Formats: sequence, C-alpha cells, structure tokens
Amino acid sequence: MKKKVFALIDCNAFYVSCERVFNPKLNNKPVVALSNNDGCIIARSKEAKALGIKMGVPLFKVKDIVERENVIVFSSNYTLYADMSRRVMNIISEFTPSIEVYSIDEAFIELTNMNVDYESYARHMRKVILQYTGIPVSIGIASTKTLTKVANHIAKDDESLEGVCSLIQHENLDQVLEDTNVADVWGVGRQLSKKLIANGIFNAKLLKNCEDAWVRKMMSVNGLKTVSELREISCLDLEETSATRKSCCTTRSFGKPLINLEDIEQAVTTFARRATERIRGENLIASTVSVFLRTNPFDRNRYYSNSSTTTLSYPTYDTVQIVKTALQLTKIIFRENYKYKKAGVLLSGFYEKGTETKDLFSEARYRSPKLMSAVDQINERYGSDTIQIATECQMGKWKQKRKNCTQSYTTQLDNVLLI
Amino acid sequence: MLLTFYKEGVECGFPSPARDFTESSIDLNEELIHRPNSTFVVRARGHSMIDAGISPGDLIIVDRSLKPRHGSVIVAVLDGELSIKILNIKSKHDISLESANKNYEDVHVSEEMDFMIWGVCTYVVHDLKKLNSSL
Repeated sequence: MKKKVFALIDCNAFYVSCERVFNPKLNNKPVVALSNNDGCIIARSKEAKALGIKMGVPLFKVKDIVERENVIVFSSNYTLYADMSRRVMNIISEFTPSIEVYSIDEAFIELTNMNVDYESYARHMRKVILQYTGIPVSIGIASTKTLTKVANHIAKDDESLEGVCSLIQHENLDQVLEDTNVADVWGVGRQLSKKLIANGIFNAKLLKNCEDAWVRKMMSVNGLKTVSELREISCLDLEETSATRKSCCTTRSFGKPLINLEDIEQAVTTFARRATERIRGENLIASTVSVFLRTNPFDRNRYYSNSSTTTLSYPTYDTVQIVKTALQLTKIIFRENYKYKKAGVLLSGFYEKGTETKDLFSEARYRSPKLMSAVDQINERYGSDTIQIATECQMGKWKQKRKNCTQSYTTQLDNVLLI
Repeated sequence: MLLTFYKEGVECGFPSPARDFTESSIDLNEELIHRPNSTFVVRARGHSMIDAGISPGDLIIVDRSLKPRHGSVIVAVLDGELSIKILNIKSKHDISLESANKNYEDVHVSEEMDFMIWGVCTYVVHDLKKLNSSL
C-alpha cells in the first residue's frame, strides 16, 4: 500500500505571535500571554522560554522573573486570536482541502496524493502564511499523524531547519525517536507516561519496539494505534471533527452542494449543537463562536470562502445561545448564488464551568434556555437597558480579570491599529 | 449592510416573479478586499501622508499579500515603529521611505535599521461628512 503523507502546521507561540503582528516592538522581547482570568501562562515567546518560564505556571509564581527581566504580559484576547486563527486556517485550506483544524493554532493536512516535493511545498506554505498574516508556523511532515508531531517539535527546536522538518524517508528515524521523551509522544498523557517510565519505556524508540500484546494491556487499543504510528503505519486519518481544550471545531463537507440559506442554517445548527454538546461533556463553556463557509476550492470561477467570529457577552454552553449566535454569523457571511461545499462551527475561549465570572443570571443561563428567550423578549419589548445592566456588570468584572488585554484589532472598526 | 435591489418592483400575495430578476447588490467587501485572509484595516493618525490623499482618521485597507513595488504606499516597520510611507526603491541597496507632506523628511533605510514591510495599502476610506462639518 502506498504510504501516506501528513503534515502538522503549528503556529509558534500563537497568542504571543498575534500580539506581535500588531505591536512589532514586542519582537525579540520576552512576552507571555495568560489564560482566562489572568491565571496561568499559556503562551511564551522564545525569549520568555529562555528565561526558564514554564508552560502553565501561575503568573504569581514567576512574578520575580517577570519583573526583573521586564517580561511583557498579555491577557488573552480571544477575539483577536480566533480571527487570526481563521485567517491562517483559511490560507492552509487554499493549499489543500484535506485539512483537520486540530486546535486554534494547529492543523493537520494530508499531502499523500499531491505530486510535490513535500519539503519545498511546506516551505512555500510557511512563507505565505507568514507574509499574509505575520504568524510564524512550524511544519512537521511524516507518514503518520503521530510522527508529524515529533517532526514538528524538531522543526520548532532546531532553528537551522527554518521551521520545516520532514521525517519522510529519514535515514535515522530510530535516533529521532530515541531523542523524543515518551511523555512528548502524541496520545501519551501524563498518567500513561508515568506508567511507561516506571516500566523502563523512557523514549519513543523504546515504545515503538514494545510488543503489541503488552501495549494493548498497558495502553488499550488507542495506545496500539499510537505505537503503530511510530512504526510508520498510519492508523489515524484526518478527522474533520476535533476537539481539544483550546478549541472545538465541528465541520463537514456537504454530500451535495447547498445553495439556500435555509439549508446551510440547518447544517450550521447541527454543527453548533454538536460542538456545544462536546464542550458540555468536557464541562467547558465557550466565549468565542466562529462560523465558516466555503464553496469547492477547485471551482475557481465561483469560489467563495468566508468566516465570521464573535465573542459572546458571557461564556456559555447553552445550546440555544450558541446556535443563535452561529446563525447570526451565518447570515453575515452567506452570499446568494454560490454552491456551498463545506461549513463549520468553531468554539474557543474556554473556561471550565464554574471558573467564570458570575453574575445575577449565571445559574439561570445553564439551567433554562427558556429563561434566556424570555430575557430576550423583555429586551425586545422594553429596549436593551434591563439586559445591559447584567451585561455591563459582567463586562466590568471582566475587564479587571483581563488587565492587559489588547484591542480587537481585526474585528472592531473602533479598535483598528492607529498608524 | 447589504440591500437587495429588485429591478421590477415587488408585488404582494404571490411569490414575486421579480425574484428571478434580483440583481446582486454592490458589495464593497468584494470590490475593495481581494484577499480577505491577508487584508487588515488600520486608521491613519498624522498628516504625513496628506498629499497622497490620506488624512488623519481615514481608514486604510492594507493587503499583506501584495508585493511592494517602487511607489507603493506601504505600512512600514522601522525599529519597531509602524508608519505609512511611500516606498522609493532607487536600487536594491538604496531604499528610502517618503512621506507625502513636505514638512516631513524622507527616511533613508540603512543596513543597521530594523526594517520590514508590514503590508501594502490599497484603498483609503475618507469620511466626507466630517470634512464638511469642520469648515
């Protein structure tokens, strides 16, 4: 069977890179971005990494380094990040329609049937993404998705590779795997890596050489897939639906092209409902909703692709609310007389349920969508003032928790860059 | 907001036969933004580009995908500062950034400078209502 070829495109320190696009003074300086509520560090520039600031640490724990080294700290600006992500993903989809948007800053693509030199193709893609958006990416190429993760790590760490690393026909794959900690293998979580290390499996090469029966016992069927993938046997195909903690995207190509708004609305409703169900299952609430829509990219004459993003006034996992928002976004981007081939809904800006800022209506929102529509009706009848009180109250608190949040440079006309 | 224009007028009761004659509306997004994924909007602050038709407060559409040429109006990054300038390429090693206002000096790009082109300006949106009210 013909070997498959996958690539993983991963944006470098994505949130930091987004801030740098609109504030070039931040280049070559240590910069970090914080999680929701300004709690933990969730993105670090290369310079911040070099200072020993670890991923995921609470800000207060590195306060000394931050002050001494003048590390620049940003609150998460999910509106900006979602919009920049949308641009990057759209540009990738113009290169190839086989794309799995894996998270806000990562996408898998399949290159199997593309008659190109993979490395130079990836280099070109990287150059275009950087020029069009200002976002630097790293690209790992390999015959399985699990190995593209390994390749991507190398592309990031070894600057001489200029952001692209291919493990296709690599002369010494075993050496590469030996240099990869078992905890860094995709699909091996923290618990599992502890178990493996306790059994003497420290690196990816050792894991690759484990016996199947033992792997199945230790790691279940999914683990066996991971191990096969390390052996260059592709077991995981591109998934058009995916979820991680950073974002949750539900998308599908339509069986036959859709033309009417009603049909697309129906599809978007399903995608929004599914995505919401998923995050609810993980006890997450979303603050940002994006919708995208496109025709067949090979139909050059009638090609249309667009997307729209909005930040909810409060994070939610209320299906009604998210569906409604998704439908509003759909109306904004829908154009008549196109044959739509694909649509999708992306949720991001997650909080764990219970960690968000509470207000008067917090509980009611999750319990009763009926209450929400009642509130909307009041809003309609008596003007927006009553509702504004709750929203403003929330916004006020919000701002405190996002002390260093930049503007919505790309989504609000009042917030664009002043030059 | 986009409005649909019915050439033949609209009748009540029946599904209008005029539906078939609906003309597509004028969409400025389509006209002015050729590559949405690489296009950004910025706002002009000073008077340095006034003779090129860019006034303070104007919105400027910037397309990062375009190749800057001699004479292009660009968003430049010079030592971390963003500015709007006219690109003057005399030769490969002789590049200067010019303003469109004689009160501003040209900047010759030397090798020590950290210089980058952020994007190429394509259109200006100027609010004429504001102009009238200031007279």
